[in-house]
Amino acid sequence: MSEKDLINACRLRERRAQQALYDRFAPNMFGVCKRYVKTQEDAEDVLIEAFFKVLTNIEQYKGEGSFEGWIRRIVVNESLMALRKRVNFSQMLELSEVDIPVTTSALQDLVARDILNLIDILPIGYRTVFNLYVLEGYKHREIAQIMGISINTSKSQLILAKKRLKTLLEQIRYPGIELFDVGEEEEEEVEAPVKITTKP
Amino acid sequence: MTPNRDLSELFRQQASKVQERPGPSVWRRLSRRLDTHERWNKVALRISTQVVLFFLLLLAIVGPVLIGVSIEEQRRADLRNPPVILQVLSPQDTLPEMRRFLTLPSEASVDTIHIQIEN
Repeated sequence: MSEKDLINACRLRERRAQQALYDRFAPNMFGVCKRYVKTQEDAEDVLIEAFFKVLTNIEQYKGEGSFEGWIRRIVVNESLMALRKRVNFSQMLELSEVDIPVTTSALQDLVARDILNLIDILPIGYRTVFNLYVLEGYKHREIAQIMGISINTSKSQLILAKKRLKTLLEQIRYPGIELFDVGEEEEEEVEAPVKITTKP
Repeated sequence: MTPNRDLSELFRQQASKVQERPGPSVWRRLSRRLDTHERWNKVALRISTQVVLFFLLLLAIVGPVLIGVSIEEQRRADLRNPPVILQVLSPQDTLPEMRRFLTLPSEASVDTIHIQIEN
């Protein structure tokens, strides 16, 4: 079934189509959830909430832009909402400025190629900004708005996250790490994030 | 060796490869949640339809009664206070044929008749 047919069937609330859509996108989206919330249970809760919103608000997808991108934005929003319930970003970021040393034993558990696990070691502020900017393509202005922090804080958190990651990669002797630098990235004008409204 | 590759690119490449299938219980929970949502939507739709139908029925019953009462009230009011027809007389009204209209029978008990003629 093509993506368009699948979406149309989901609009008609066909359960099989809904499951097919879930099966197609859940593996990628679960990876996204796990980058934001640490535990398996929390990631599953976020995934359920996100897909519930996707499936009950699918009429709001007008076919503009990629469907996967639309789902991803909802998943990221849900992940951030789950995080926000537990932490106050603006307060938490001040704490995460303190450089907490990572034990070598924790790094020894990592497989070199599985470097994404290194992001989990980062303090929550670094991790969230890094995920949003580098992996989701949000801009500092958007991140500042979403997290309730200043644009400069978002920029500094990103630089610190990159520096920390580079140190961690050096510690695990990631091959070719000497070729990578912590480059500055240019801010661009972008559209506002997707806003999803839900019925009670 | 001079570093020339951005660290972000390394993570982007890795992230695009990551796929992790959630446990089977996740879909079951989601499915249950969707069922509840749909059931609630159906109940809400049924209730709102019933409310609308009730008001339409009420309007169909009470409407004609209210209209009938209103017409009867109007009729009674008309009987109590018959409409007054005012006639404005002009100089032309003194013509013989009009005068005939104004002539009162001699046995009439009216003392005075005031006729104001507009110039």
